[in-house]
Amino acid sequence: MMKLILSEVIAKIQDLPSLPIVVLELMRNINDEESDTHLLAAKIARDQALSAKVLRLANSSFYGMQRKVNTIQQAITILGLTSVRALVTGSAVIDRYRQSKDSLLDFQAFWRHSIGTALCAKALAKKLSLNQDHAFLSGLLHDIGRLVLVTYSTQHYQAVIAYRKEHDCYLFEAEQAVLDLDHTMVGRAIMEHWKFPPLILEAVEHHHFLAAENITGLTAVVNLADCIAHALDLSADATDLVPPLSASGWRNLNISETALMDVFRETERQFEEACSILIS
Amino acid sequence: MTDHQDRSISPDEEEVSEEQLQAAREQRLARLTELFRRSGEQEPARLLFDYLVRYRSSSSLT
Repeated sequence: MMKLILSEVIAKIQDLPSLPIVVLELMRNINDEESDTHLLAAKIARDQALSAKVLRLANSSFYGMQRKVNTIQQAITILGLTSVRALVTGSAVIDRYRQSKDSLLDFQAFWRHSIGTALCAKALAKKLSLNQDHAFLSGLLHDIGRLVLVTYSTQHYQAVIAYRKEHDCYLFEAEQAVLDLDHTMVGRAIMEHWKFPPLILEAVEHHHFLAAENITGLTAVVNLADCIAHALDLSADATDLVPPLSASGWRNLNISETALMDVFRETERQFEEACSILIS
Repeated sequence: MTDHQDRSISPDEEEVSEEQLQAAREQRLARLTELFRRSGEQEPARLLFDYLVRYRSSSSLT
């Protein structure tokens, strides 16, 4: 019997590596641009590896800045605190879950897909005048529950992978069939533990729109970005499948073919550089 | 010493190049079809698939 109980998985989440304290502090006030930026910049700067990544991203084609950004304080001034929060959080999570010994999951492929989804979500949000930083973070972490499940029990996840191979189904269908839960539920739980805001929790939990029928806004963006990232074949995973695309999400976003062509182009243009910075 | 000779491309080289392009286009389309094998029959996934086919065709010309 392989079924898992969500509350037991959640209890184990407490034992997982936590994020750096500065990240948890940034998450507490994610929409607050009035925070003491000098103090936050100083805290971020103390983590040299993290700061270096954030500055490389700030200076990359990701933002297309005309002038070079040399310090975290400059990054906050030029890009805004919300953008720097997103970059710091994204970089920190990838660092914490870089690779596990003897893991069933190809972490490189996992993060390549997640980064592709993040870039695509950001590009979609720009077209739709939605918050690009929330879209970037939601896209980056939409499958984080999968990492938790793999870490929680190798034996259980081996059964999920075997089921998927046998039935040629989606991974979330295999998770539901074998474990009686899936990565979207677990993803929401861990991000709730990390104090992410409700909007991002919703997007992560419903990006396969399993329970919710009508999806809008950020959730619809992440659903569409996830599908596009799979379709652009960014993770080069031979077993990959484009997941179901929500009809209500597509209708509610109402995005034109021309706009989508720009999104495809922008995602592919930024992809390799973003990967080289975030998962080097 | 500068080489002023024109180096025209031979018809054989052009043909090979076009064949390679066509083979690459077909490979990309096959891969895209494979990725959409479960969801591509239904709307709006079919529409997204069509957009991506056009995108891949237009980007292969540049």
